[in-house]
Amino acid sequence: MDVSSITSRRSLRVSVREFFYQEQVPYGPALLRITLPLVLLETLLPRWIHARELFSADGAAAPLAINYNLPGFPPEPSGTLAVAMMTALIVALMSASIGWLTRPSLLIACGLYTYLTLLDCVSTMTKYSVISSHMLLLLSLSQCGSIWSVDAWRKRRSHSHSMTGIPQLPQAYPIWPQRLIQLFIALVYFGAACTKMHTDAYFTSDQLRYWLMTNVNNDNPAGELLSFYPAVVIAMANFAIVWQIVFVFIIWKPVVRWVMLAIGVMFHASTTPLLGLYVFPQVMISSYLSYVEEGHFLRVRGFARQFWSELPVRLDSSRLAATVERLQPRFRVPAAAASGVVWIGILLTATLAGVAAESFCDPYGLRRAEGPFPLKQLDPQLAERLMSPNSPILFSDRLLSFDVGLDMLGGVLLTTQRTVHRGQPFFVQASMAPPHEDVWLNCQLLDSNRQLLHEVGQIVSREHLRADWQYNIPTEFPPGQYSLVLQHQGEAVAERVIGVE
Amino acid sequence: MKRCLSNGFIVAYLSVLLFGVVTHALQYHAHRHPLTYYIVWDMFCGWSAWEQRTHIVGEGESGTLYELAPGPWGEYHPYGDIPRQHYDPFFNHAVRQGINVLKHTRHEPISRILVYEEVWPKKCNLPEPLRQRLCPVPQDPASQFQLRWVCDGEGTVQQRYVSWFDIQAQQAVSNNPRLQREVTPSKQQVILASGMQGQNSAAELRSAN
Repeated sequence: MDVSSITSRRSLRVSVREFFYQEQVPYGPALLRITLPLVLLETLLPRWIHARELFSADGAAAPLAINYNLPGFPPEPSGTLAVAMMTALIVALMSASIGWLTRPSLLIACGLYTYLTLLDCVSTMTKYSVISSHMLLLLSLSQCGSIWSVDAWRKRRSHSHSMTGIPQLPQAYPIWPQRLIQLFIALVYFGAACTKMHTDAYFTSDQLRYWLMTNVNNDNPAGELLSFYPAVVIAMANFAIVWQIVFVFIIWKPVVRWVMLAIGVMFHASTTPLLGLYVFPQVMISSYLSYVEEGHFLRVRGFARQFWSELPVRLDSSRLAATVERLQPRFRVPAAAASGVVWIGILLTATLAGVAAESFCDPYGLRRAEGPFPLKQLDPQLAERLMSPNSPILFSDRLLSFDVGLDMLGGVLLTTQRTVHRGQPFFVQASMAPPHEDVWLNCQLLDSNRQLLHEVGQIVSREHLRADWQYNIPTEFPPGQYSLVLQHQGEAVAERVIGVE
Repeated sequence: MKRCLSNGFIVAYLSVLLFGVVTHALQYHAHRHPLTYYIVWDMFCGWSAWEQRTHIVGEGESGTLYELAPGPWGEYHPYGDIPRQHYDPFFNHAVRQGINVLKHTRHEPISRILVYEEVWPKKCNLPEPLRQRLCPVPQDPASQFQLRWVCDGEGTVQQRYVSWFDIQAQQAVSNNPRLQREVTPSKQQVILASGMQGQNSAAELRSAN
């Protein structure tokens, strides 16, 4: 074995050790600890009153394991226990966010959140809940409560009371939990890119176009508009998959990191107007806080202080610190054990109060004066539609679009045109909605007097979604309005009028 | 000791994550256990050209049909403006939702619980001017319905049917005279006993109602 290989092996070991065990003040994890629970509370608070229905044996729990043909995993709690757990989860998340008994809070939150989401795969568990479970677990292993937390405040105050009175500097810890969060996020993107590679329709814009038209999330008017530009969708899709694949490899480069994260923020933020997603982008953007390391934070703080000092109107920071000090409670800071007892007391009291409040609310209306709710009769119109045979599926239902354009990108029209010039080649494209049978489509070109000028047909087999025809209106033809008519089985199923100049 | 534990955790955690990514990339047992959902990142899959909804219906002994989801105590909208029952694309949890409503309401004896799938082209979700821009054909949104589950009043499965999408995909392939000659009639039409899968047509299912 030569010296260079020994050296390189040793340097690799040193690099790995430094990568995981470098000591830093956990600014990034602390920011994530503050933010992530608040995002999760946004989804959990509205579900609290439905806890009995969503997560318990006294409701309609929807365990994920049923989809895997594995009933009974995990066991379903009683209604009261589900409400108690949901309440405790909310308290634990609040407590984690403010950093009060941070580690137990995060462990409780992680356990309860994972357990409850596993019980409702229909309306609570999604990939953002899974990502959140991972991050809560990794945060609980970190020292994220050592700064900007009640724990840190209590420790600092008790130290200043008992010792010298000199405030302690934040302590540095091995960075490995933060590294695991960073690696986890990068591998999520890599895995998501694998999914896209397995999905042919992702690269042809079809899958994303239909997603943009889907109405299962919140309103997405910008997405509906974007679905008219499949070439833009293809370009964005290709950019996104490249970004997701390279993320894990280049996020560690200091200069590239912020570019990658800025693209990520834009990518996730755009899913709100485009796809109607609210919580997923918040979870992912919060997760980026794990990429904030000590050096970054100190640099930003340095810039902020410099900016602050250059402001024409300056606040006296020593007076501000004195004011903060004056506003702090004057009571004796409880010892760690006493703080724990108070925390447990609050957790138990809140949980019991939650159970009592939910029982008082009577979500199923069982204790109403008039008794339980009667069943609602089915809307007669809907009942009739359910019970009668389906009308045949119209061909126009299977046709997504019929349009004209000058150029193609990735097999779709780059732009749509309403006017073309004589002698200028242009494309006509019909897009089908899957699933469809093998079909023969005819495209006719008619002049303004509805005279047939040209007719051409094409088979669209079941595995293809598009038929394209290239046209070129000769210069001898007069300018005016021409029509392109799409026919199926001899019947016109779509028509597009174009101006020819 | 502390370093050993953290080393062990790092190795174990990264191994589990990599296992998920590799099984998913190779499509090998990627969905074997519910916990693989925690390590397989298959977002964005399964979006179709048709919007899907769920109708859970109770048939009383008098023949009256009742709405079993959402419950009469109010709708719960988890992600947007549609109730919870519509977020179950595999219809694995619909009957349970119906049973829960029956358990907590006043009603006549219920003889059957029926679960229907409703689909319509997603382009019908677009506002009319946009839809006309996409494909200039006058069109009323026409839903298709497909019976998926038939249970007795206690929720015991009597019949289970394949999805509208599977039927359409099957028809797209089988609409071929040569193939039709090769497929025996007994294989073309199978009405299923509980817990089994097969294919049949919507019209046949309706005649079974």
